[in-house]
Amino acid sequence: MNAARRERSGTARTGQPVASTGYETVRRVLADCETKRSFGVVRVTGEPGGLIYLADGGVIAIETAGAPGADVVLLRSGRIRESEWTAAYAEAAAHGQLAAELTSRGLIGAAELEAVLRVALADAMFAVAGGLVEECALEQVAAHGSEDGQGPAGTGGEAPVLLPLSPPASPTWLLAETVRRLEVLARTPELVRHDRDRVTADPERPANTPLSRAQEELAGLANGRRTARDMAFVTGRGVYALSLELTRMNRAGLVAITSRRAIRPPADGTRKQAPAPKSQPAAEASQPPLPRRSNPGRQPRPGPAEIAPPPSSALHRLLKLFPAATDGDAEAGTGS
Amino acid sequence: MSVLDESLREVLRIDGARAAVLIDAATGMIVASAGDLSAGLPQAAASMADEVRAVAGTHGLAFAAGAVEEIAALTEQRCHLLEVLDPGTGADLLLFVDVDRSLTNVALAGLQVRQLLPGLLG
Amino acid sequence: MAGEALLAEMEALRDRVSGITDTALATRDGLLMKADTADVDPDNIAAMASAMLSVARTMAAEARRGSLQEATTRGSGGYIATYAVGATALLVVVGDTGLDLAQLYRESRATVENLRRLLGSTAGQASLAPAASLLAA
Repeated sequence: MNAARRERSGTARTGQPVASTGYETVRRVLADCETKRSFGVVRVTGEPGGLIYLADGGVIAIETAGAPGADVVLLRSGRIRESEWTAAYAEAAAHGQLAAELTSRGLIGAAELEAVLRVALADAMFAVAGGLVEECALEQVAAHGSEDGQGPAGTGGEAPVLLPLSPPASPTWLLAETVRRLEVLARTPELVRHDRDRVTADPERPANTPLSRAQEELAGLANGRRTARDMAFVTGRGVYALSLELTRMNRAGLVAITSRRAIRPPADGTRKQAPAPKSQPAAEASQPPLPRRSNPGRQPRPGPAEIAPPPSSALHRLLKLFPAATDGDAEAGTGS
Repeated sequence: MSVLDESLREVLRIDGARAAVLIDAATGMIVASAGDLSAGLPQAAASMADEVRAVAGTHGLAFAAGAVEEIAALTEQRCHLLEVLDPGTGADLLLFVDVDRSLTNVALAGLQVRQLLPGLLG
Repeated sequence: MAGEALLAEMEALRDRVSGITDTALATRDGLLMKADTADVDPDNIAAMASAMLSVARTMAAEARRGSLQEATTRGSGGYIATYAVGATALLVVVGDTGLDLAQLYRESRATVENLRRLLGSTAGQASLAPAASLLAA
């Protein structure tokens, strides 16, 4: 791969550390694995956390709830049709040969597939290492790896990775890209954060603002409940890319941040109570009426033709931008 | 061996080519690269992605001129070509080629690069 | 008010677990009590979840796989998971393909327990008018 890559130190030009100590943990563990040319799975506990699959010290796949994997990207973007995917999958997935099957059926070029896998991996690493990290450890070392490091993970007995990147990606390269992205976000004003900021399309937006097709799609999905991460899973685009795009749309007044997720560490069994309901006096007035069964015959109704935000909740949220910060974060736009 | 890296090395066979870089337009990240790369390349790559967006916003949308296909920049020593792969589909990959002007010219370089594009990601 | 507290629990779960798109709380026989939904019809999924939970419970018993923990449907576009809430209610969770079911199960235990407690004060009320009993709570 790229001979010019360098390890980044994780600090922005201002000298302020951009990456958190959680990121440092991931970096340290992966650097160790890279040196030792480990095979196995690194489990990252946190939010979103995830599993980093290694072969010969390099990353072949990352599974995380925080970013769509290559399979979701290929299918949701429409690059590969579901029927064609299903046929290739049936033939090859169980043997860990899906990539070869997709290319031999002419569904995607080998070089393009490799590019898609690299991009998806970078996005997943950004979501995992750039998110909240509690613990990070190499969990499972294969009893024996394949000689050339090209075989699918599975030589240790765990399930084969669906679309392993071959040759594996250097963790140093992936983490350098994560740091680059964190630095960009740190200096981005009015940032729409990928994992926590929920956006609503502004119904008042200037009528003569031309939207690209990509922006139209996002505006349609912006129902006050979805974050950039959620939209990534729907559209097959990356969480970082959508964070940037929604930020541009936010600045242009096309969408607005109407609520945010509070990012907390995962449940450890000692936290029994959900936090007290946020005080929303406006909510009582505009809460939808208590639901009634309107169709006693229980026939499923056809789905809505397009996704429309529930008018009452979207409206009252537009009126309540930036509720009091319960997670101690600064105002959006002043940092990650 | 990486088929993607091999593919980029093919681009270096063009007269005067010094470097070839594949950039993801949506993120500005370098996906693959080959040749003699400068230290400032990661920053430049992200800027190039912004350039394409800016040009699309003005020339594309404002002039109803269709999707952006190529941007060429000429400096004293170099010719820089930025090719949009599969323009109009939103497929989001850019090929940047750094060409030495003393060895070729923008017309020839552009012709040779465009001939390579269809097979680049095959 | 109990209705607000129920919704707060459901919204907190959606906040905590990436990938949840909708949740609904219903009586065991499929009457919708509370919905935190946008993409799905809450009445319909409540009714269907009731049927699913019932069949799943029978299936778990028939196959001798112990007590039912979760009834899950997996589609190419995501998941629907249904959990019993005490003896009288159920919780349906709809999610996208990024939903981690194991994480959902872990994170939802506290939610299910809190919902059960909140509903406990209205246990024994006729299921015909759950809305009325919640108003009275």
